[in-house]
Amino acid sequence: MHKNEVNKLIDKYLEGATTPEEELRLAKEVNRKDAPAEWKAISTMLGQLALDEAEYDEEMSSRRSRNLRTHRIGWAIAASIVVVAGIGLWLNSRQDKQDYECIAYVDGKTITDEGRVLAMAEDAVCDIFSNSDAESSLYKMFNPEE
Amino acid sequence: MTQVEFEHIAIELRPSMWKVGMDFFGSTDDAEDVAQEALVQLWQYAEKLDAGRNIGGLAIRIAKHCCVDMQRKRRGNIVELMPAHEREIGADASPHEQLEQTEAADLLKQLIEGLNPRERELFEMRQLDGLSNDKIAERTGIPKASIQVMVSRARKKIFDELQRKLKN
Repeated sequence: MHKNEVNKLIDKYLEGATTPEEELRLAKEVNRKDAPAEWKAISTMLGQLALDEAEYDEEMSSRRSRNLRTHRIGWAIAASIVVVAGIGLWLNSRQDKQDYECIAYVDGKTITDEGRVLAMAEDAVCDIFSNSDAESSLYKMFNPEE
Repeated sequence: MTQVEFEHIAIELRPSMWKVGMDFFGSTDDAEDVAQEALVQLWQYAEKLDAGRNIGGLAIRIAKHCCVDMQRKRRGNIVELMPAHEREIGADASPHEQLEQTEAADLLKQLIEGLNPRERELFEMRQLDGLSNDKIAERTGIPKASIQVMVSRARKKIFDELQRKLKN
């Protein structure tokens, strides 16, 4: 609070027009270590109860704002973790999708339809295992013309 | 107020004084000390208390004062253990300043005693009980404008005397 504002508040106090809240504010100002000597009389008049009540309220209020700041930092950290984890999962899922991209080359043609490729692979595996001679089946598969 | 009346009120007021201590120190032992000390101090004011006074408000203010005072004394103890060159930084007030404060408070008491009964009552309702002019008007039935005039007169009288004596 500026010195002029405090002096105005002192005048208001002496006029009997201050509210209890204004008097607590005034108590806080005139009780400062660097308060001018001319405020000493007002500090005495407000009394130790008002001076200490102002100090109590100020300390509780600064503790509350410290707690609020700590909570905000906590929430910010939690939110950052969620965002980082989300980005990580998203990138991971993209990576997974890339890993499972299906490309098959059949008779010189490229097939990228995942369902079709899987069905063809399944048929091929069935063919191999339905025949007791797996080696000849594989040979037939890769040398169809013979 | 009689001691029996005070004991009855003390039972009602103690929990709120205890809570003030608990909020400040976060310890049940300290909260007990605050409540106990605050009740002792409240009893010292008791002879001035009557139906028109804000006893609950005064009890809370005294409890807050006790918290700050206890903390100040603890800091003082820590300061005594500090090396001399570091003491000034941690000390709230030097012994000389404390003496000056005590003398000023005694002087204020004398000056309040010198006011006429109505001015004294209104001055204390503002200073001790922390009541607004509106609340005092409700409790006493005196018009708010008259309260402001009387409070102002009482404050200016005390202020002029204090200024004069503190300069000497």
